[in-house]
This record gives sequence, C-alpha cells and structure tokens, in this order.
Amino acid sequence: MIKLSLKNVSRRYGTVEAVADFSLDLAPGEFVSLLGPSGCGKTTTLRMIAGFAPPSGGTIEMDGELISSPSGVVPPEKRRMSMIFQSYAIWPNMTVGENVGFGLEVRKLGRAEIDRKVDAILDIVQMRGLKRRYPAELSGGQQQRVALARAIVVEPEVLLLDEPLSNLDANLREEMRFEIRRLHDEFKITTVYVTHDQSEAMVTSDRIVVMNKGRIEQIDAPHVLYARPRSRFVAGFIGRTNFLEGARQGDDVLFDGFSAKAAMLGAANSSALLYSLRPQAIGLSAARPNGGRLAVEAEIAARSYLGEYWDYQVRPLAAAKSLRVSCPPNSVFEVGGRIWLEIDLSDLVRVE
Amino acid sequence: MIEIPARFNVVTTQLFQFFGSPVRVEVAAAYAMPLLGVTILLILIQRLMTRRKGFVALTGKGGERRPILLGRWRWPMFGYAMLVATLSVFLPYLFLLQASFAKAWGRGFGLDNISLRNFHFVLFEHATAATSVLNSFLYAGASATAAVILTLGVAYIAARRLVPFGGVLGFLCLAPFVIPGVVLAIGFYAAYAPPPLALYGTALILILAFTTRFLPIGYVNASAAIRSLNPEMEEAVRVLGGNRLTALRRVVAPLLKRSLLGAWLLIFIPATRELSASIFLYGPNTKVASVMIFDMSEEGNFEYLAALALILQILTLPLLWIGMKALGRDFMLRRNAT
Repeated sequence: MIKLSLKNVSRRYGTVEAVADFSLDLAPGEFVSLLGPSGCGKTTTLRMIAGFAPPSGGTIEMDGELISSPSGVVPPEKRRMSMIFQSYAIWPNMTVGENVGFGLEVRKLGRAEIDRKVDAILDIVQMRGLKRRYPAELSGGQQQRVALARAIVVEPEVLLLDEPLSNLDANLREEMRFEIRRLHDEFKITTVYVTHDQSEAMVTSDRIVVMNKGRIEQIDAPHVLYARPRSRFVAGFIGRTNFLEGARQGDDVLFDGFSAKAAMLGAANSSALLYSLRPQAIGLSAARPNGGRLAVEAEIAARSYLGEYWDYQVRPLAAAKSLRVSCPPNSVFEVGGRIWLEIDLSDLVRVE
Repeated sequence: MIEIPARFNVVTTQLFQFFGSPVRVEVAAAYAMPLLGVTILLILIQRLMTRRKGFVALTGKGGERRPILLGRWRWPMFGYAMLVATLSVFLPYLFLLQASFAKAWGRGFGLDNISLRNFHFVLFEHATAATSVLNSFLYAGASATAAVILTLGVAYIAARRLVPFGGVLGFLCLAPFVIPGVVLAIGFYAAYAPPPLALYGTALILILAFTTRFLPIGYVNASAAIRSLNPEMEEAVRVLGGNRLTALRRVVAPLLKRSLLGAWLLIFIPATRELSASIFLYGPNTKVASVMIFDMSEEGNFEYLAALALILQILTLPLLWIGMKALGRDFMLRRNAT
C-alpha cells in the first residue's frame, strides 16, 4: 500500500538542476524526513509535492492518482494536504481560533462543528486558553503550535513541514521535535518533513532521505543511516565519524598505522578503499585486550571533556593521523599516555 | 498662475495659452514634447546619481541623535528657522485668512474689515463655487479609489510573477511620474475629447486624468506593501483549500488595509487641488475647486478666492482624521494582556 509516490522527479531552473531523479514511496502513516545541507533540493522537492511548483520531469501520485507531472499539476488547494512553513505563515489579522478554523471554514463545515474541532485540537496542542489572542501576542513556540493545529485540524491526506523549527531557540526546538512526533503518533498522518538538522530528523522520522546536490544519497531508518552509511557524504553528515583510507595488499587491508584481514572487511580488490568508523565504536583500555577484536597500541594526543562524554584524539603508534574516540566520562586517560584501541571490524563500514 | 499677468512666460503658461480660443491642440502637443524630453532626461540623471554606491539612506545601525549645543547661537538659529517657516507657511496662510474674512483685502487688518460675507457668497450665492468643491472631492475620491485598486492588482501581479513581463506593467504605472500634468492633459484632450469617445466636459475624463496622474503614488505604495508580505501567508491559504482570490480577500487585503488607505489619502489630497490637468479638461458642469480658484484670481476676486481656499482646506482636514480613525486598531500591536 503506497500513499504518496514520487517517480524520477526532477526540477530544473534554467540550466541548474535543483532536483534530479528523485524516487520515493511513502506508506500510509509514515513519517519521512528530507535531510541535507541548504541548497540540496529538499525544499524544492517539498514544494513540488505541495503543488506549488511543477516537476520538470517525472511524476507524483497520491493514492495511485496522478497529481503532478510536467504536463499538468493539481493546484495546492485541491490536494487535501497541509503544509507548515518556515515562517509559520500564521495570519496576523486573525485570532488563534480564526487561524485554526480557517481550513474548516473553507471546507464549508457548520459553525458548531468548526468550534468543536478547533477546541479539540487547541486542547491537544495546549493552546485552548489563548484562542482569542492575536498572533502578535504569542511567543514563537506558541505560534508554531498554532501552525501545527491549523495544519492538522483539517485531517489532511499528507502533512508537509518545511524546516518548521529553524526559527525557534535551541531549547524550544528540542521540545517541539518530540511534540511533532507525538502529534504524528496520535493522528498517523503521512508526513514529509524537510530539515537540515540531523537530530531533528532522527527524533521524528521513520525513514530519512539524505539529499546532496539535488540527488538522493541514501534512504534508510535513522539507526541504519547512522550505523551503515553508504557514502562518504552520509557518514560525514549524520553524526561524527573517522574516515580511514585503506589499500588491499594480499589478504590484508593496510590502514594508517594498522592492518586488518580483508576477509573480515568484505574488501574489494582495490587500492583505494574508504571506511567510516564511528568515534564510539572504538574502545580504549589501559591493558592489551584479549578476544577476537582488533587491538592497536596508540598514544593519547589530545582530549576534551564534554560532560556527557570524553572526546579523545588518539594516534596509533605507527600512524601519521589521529582518530577521534568518544568514551564515557569515567574512562579517564592522560595526554601522552599509552593505551590500547579495541576495534570490532564489523563497525568498519565501507563507504563510496 | 502668478506669472501670466506679469507676461513672464514659461513653457506651461505658454501651453495654456495655446488652449485659449482658438484651441490649437496640435501646436500644444508639439510644444509639449521638449518639456517631456527634458523632464525624462532630468529624471534619468537623478536615477543615475542615486544608483551610485554610497547613496544609502538606511544603514541598519541604530544611530543616536543628540542635540548640538549652540550656546549663544541658539536664538539667532531659532530666528532663522522661524524666518523660513514664516516666509513659506505662516505669512501666506495669515494673509489667506485675512483676505477670506475681509470686506476688501487691500484695506489690511482691522476689526471694521471683518465679515463673513465672502463665505456666504461662495457657498450660497455663487453659481458654481460650492459645486466645484463637491466636484473636487467626488473626482478625487473616485480617482484615488480607482488608482489604488488598479495599482494593487498590478503590484500583486508583478511581485508574484503571475504573468510574464509583469515588470513592464509596473513600469507603465510609474511612467506618469515623468510626464508633466500639462503634457498629460494635452494627451488626454487629444485622445479622449474627439469622437468616438467624446469625453470632453464629462466627469469621466477628469477622473481618468487624475487616476493616471497619481498612478505612480499608488503603485509605489502598493508594491512596497506587497513586498512586505511573506508569500508563505498566501501559500498557507491555498494549501488549506482556498484559492488565490480567497487569499487576496481574507489575508492580503486585511493586512494591507492600512497602507492602502494611506495610499488612498496620498492620492486623494493632491487630487483635490490638481490644477494643471483639470484646467484643460473641465467642462461647464465639471468645474473643480482648483479651476474655480484660478478663475477667481483671473477676475481679481481675492476675498472670494481666499474664502473658497479656506473652505477646501478645512474640509480636507477632518477627512484625514476620519481616514486615520477608520483604519481601526492595529492588530500588529500587543493588546494589554487579557
């Protein structure tokens, strides 16, 4: 069962290809994020889904019905979708209640029913008491809740969010992430969420589409994206990582300062191999560890204490470059001291 | 107006004389061309100068203004400032006031020289003076309304790029700015007075001329107002199921109410005193107050003239005030917490 389907969608502005060959299927009730740096084409994609921009190529279907193609676009007002904008786009000339009730009014519902639905949704976003206020009298977070209520109250087929939290301060942003996920769990609306903030995407989404330069890099669940990035871009964009360059030599892969069995790494016969190794996948210990894991003797080059963890820079004795390692706050090692690195070879992820 | 009796001809007065009997429109039109050319040239030069880097009116930094201590120069400077104000504002108004109440303005100030006869005359006895004031307000109101609606539409189309080359439309709205009123009037006369339109002497030709003359004021205001609106507010209407018209009616218009009313007043007030175009285009039944005043000055009836001018002034002021009131409460301001 597919709710929303994008097939080879592309969008050109003059000679610039803003989005290229974008294909994605959303299951009903699924929450998918489009994640990428600014200018990667994520907002353009969202606006094509909303019907504000026609695709230059490819098609968009909802419930199996064609809604966008280069030859024609169902206008936004006929798509039964809702969208939350970066600027909130709350109408300052209407009260909270009027803002939220607007979509229902356009759908020609009775006054009593509108009031009932507006009150119910305002209760859910905890804004009932502010129903008669004007937007200028609300804080940023409250305005965002109005925007959410206004979008959800019409029970849209698809909910679109365009960087909805980027104008909020850090604390509020974190709170609203959970709020958005909570509302999604309650209403199960198929949602597309555009953001450049990886933790926002990871908290809210069932799947994340990582985009770069108008193309899809990888589509996966947040934990898969983190543990198994497929490209250098994804590994670097989602969380921090160490990039290890390796070269195949016989049965081994040679890295900077150590080597590992090629069979364990699933390495191809190539001289230029690139692996990603997350900082917390490396263990530190004072004594040489035993067991099946790779042990490398190293020196602590630098360290910083970040409260939730230690951030160490360690250099394998034979290496030129150091690696970053995250350790729990109680693993204390002095700068200049010798330690052993413990690496599970399955944590080394080959990237393009 | 001051110059004709002094036989001190400038282009505009000469143009006016071409309209004396017999009317020679072709000659006037040809004579107007150099005036138009010079005006356009001057405006181009001004644009070139202000476009240069370094011409910045608003820097974005909150500069502090502090009073300069003038010491003993304080009173002389004050005197100088007041002299300028006196020459340009107080004196003319004082004499206008005096003349409007005077039995004969040449007799100067004095209690025995005060009467309300002038007001009574222009309001109740004169055949067309009172009507001319009414005409002025009617035509100015109609053209201000028309200009605001027209320019709002054009500015919206240009800002949202609804049609290709919308910018050209915007440019056309600004074009009357470079055309002197007299030249515009001659153009209107030539285009609309002869059949098939034959609008000469109708209210419509005056309203059309005023609308055109003040289109730039409307356009500058409307486009500034629309550019201050985030298009996402209209997109929010559409995504929730409303069409473009709903967005205009429910969101754009209410949000622009204030600036549009401001633009309306900015057009209305100069339109009530427009002379240079109306003097060519008025007919026997469509005389406006400015033309009436001009006629009275030609006849040397300065007492009546002053009374009429004062009436015009006094009627405009409450309109301004009503306009400001009608704007209603500014919803962008916080009310006291409820």
